[in-house]
Amino acid sequence: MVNRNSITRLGVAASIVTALVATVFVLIVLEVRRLQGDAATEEVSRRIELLGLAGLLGAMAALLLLAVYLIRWVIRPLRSVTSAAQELAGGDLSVRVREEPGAEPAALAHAFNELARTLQAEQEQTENALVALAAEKRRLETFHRAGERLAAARDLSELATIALSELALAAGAERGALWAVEPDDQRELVLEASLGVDPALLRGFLRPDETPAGRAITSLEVVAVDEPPRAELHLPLLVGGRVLGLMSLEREGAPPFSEAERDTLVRLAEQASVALSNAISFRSALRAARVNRAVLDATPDPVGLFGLDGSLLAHNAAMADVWHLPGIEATPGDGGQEERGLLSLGDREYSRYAGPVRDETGAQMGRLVVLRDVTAEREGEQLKDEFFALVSHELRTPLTSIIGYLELVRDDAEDLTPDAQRFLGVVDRNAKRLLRLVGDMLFVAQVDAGRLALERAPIDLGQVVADSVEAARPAAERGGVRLRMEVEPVGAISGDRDRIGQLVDNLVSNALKFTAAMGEVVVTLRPDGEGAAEVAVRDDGMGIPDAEQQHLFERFFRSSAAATRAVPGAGLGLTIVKTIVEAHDGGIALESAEGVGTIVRVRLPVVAGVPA
Amino acid sequence: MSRVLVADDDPDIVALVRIRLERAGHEVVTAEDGEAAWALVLERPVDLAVLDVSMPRVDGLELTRRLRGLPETAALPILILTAAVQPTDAEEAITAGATAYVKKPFSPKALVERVDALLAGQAGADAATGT
Repeated sequence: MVNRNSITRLGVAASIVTALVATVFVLIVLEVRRLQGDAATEEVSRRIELLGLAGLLGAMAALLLLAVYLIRWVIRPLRSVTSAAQELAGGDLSVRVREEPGAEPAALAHAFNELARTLQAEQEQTENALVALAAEKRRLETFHRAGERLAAARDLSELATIALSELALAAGAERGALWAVEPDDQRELVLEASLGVDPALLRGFLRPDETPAGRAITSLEVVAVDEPPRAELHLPLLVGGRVLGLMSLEREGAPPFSEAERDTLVRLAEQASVALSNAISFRSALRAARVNRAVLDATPDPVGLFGLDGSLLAHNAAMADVWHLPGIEATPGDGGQEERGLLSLGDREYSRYAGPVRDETGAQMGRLVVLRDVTAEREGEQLKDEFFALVSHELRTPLTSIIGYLELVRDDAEDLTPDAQRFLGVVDRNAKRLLRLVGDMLFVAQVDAGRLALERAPIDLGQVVADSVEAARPAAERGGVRLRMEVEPVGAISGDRDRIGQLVDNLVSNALKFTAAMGEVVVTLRPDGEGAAEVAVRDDGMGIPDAEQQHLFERFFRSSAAATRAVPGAGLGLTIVKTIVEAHDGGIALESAEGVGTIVRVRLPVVAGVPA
Repeated sequence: MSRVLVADDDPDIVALVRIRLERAGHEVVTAEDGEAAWALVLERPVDLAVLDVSMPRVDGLELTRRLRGLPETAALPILILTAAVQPTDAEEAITAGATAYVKKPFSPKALVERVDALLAGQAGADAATGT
């Protein structure tokens, strides 16, 4: 409204001036006409001159007034607006025009000022936005560069160094350290990198404790320590809520970390954590792979994994030497079955295992081939066989002489004193025991070598049992044990006469060994009703504890009773019995109760249609 | 009375067998190895040979093969003494041409019984005698 008022005032002033000039002009014209109409006198002319002068003066004064008014209230404010506009155009948005309430272009000045203010505000806003944008750009650049540098790290310690230097740079920190989890021991963090500080002065291991760093890994939150002029920040490095590490940053002579700085650093730490997680997983996998590789390579047996197309997927050092040789690799397209066999490669002998390897889904990845050099074992076995043959032969030859000459001497018994006869009996008995022992050892050696050959023929078991009982009678008499025999007719069996005799001898001899004086051993032979003949040897001796029964058929096993009572034997008797029984397709069963006695039953299949 | 050759590199065994055979009424010639035994047989025929498998120079099996190759001794009863360490030892003896075998250690008395049986023509490889 002020604007309109000043314009109105200007218009009114101009109208008054115009009216005044017009009136004076009209008066002058009327006076001239009247004087021209009358007689022209000197006085009249002077009046006219005076009137004209007065009118002129009046007009001049009015014009002057108008000019002054225009200069003061219109032109000067306009000029100031113009120059301000020029300054505004020149870029100075802070320029303002003085708004004079009385001046006619006050509205213009006001409008101008409004315009300038708006422009300035907008420019400030733009500038602020640009500053923010630049800051964001720098931050993004920091993230980008950090990301690139982190991605380029080849291992955990290099990554740790990069992460630390990036965050220290972003934080303006002079000192820092980074601890990361040990894949093998997740309870504590291990110093991986340091910056601006001697690593020897830092804690090598970090645990959750009451230090700022310790609290950071306990709380999973950033812990700040402000002790001007020092400021510390402890950032837990987390992935999925799990602590992977901790970074400590310290700067001096700078203000405490601002909220924005902390935000940036936390985001950078998140970025570093992801990279760290990968590096830790990688290190862990690498270590596991190294351990596996070391174990494989330390394995002296060649081990290799062959793909289904027959290519070698993985192998150990030992396999590297031989894998190309024929007969080692799995046949392409082999099924899921296992194979075991022997393989000769040059002058070496290998046992070979091949079997399917499946991944966690059960799909077959390939076939594992494991070779074992058994050359030495084979040679050893051969040596053992030869040794047994030698020992057996060398022991039997002198025993033949001993037993043979004893027989000669005892044929002439009438020349000997009763004592001499008794002593020779002892020598004979022990010689025969020694002979039996040699026979047993040889037997076991033959079984081991897989060369237990039976000379099968129809056998009359009744005769075998009778012979064994007869042979054992002297021993029974010496021990004061009653030895009885109950034989029913059974069919002939097909077997090795010597081995079946050895079998019954062993059973009877065992029973006698473990039966005290006044005891009884009964040997029975009868058909078992199911097509087999059953030889049972029963004693009323001390019996065998339950715990020992399962071991009775193990080679060289000696019962506790045998040990405490110094019963002679090598622990081979029942092993041999079982081996012979099984070689004859028979069965053996043992029942025993401590303090009651023992019964061993052997069943041997009867050959149909062959009379005993 | 038969003339029996006993060949074994163990003199004690040879003496033992000689005593038993002589007591049974046989004439006994002895040798310590296959070569000497071969010479004895060539020098003067025997009625039966008791040969140890393991002897120096020419062993019992080799001597058996030689004797079988000679027309005069092709049908000579030969009794092989074998330590029978391996089950195949006895088979080898028969394959080489032995009439019968006896496993060491043997009872001299039983050996004489086998010799008498063989001389009487009741040879049988399947009735080997052990102890």
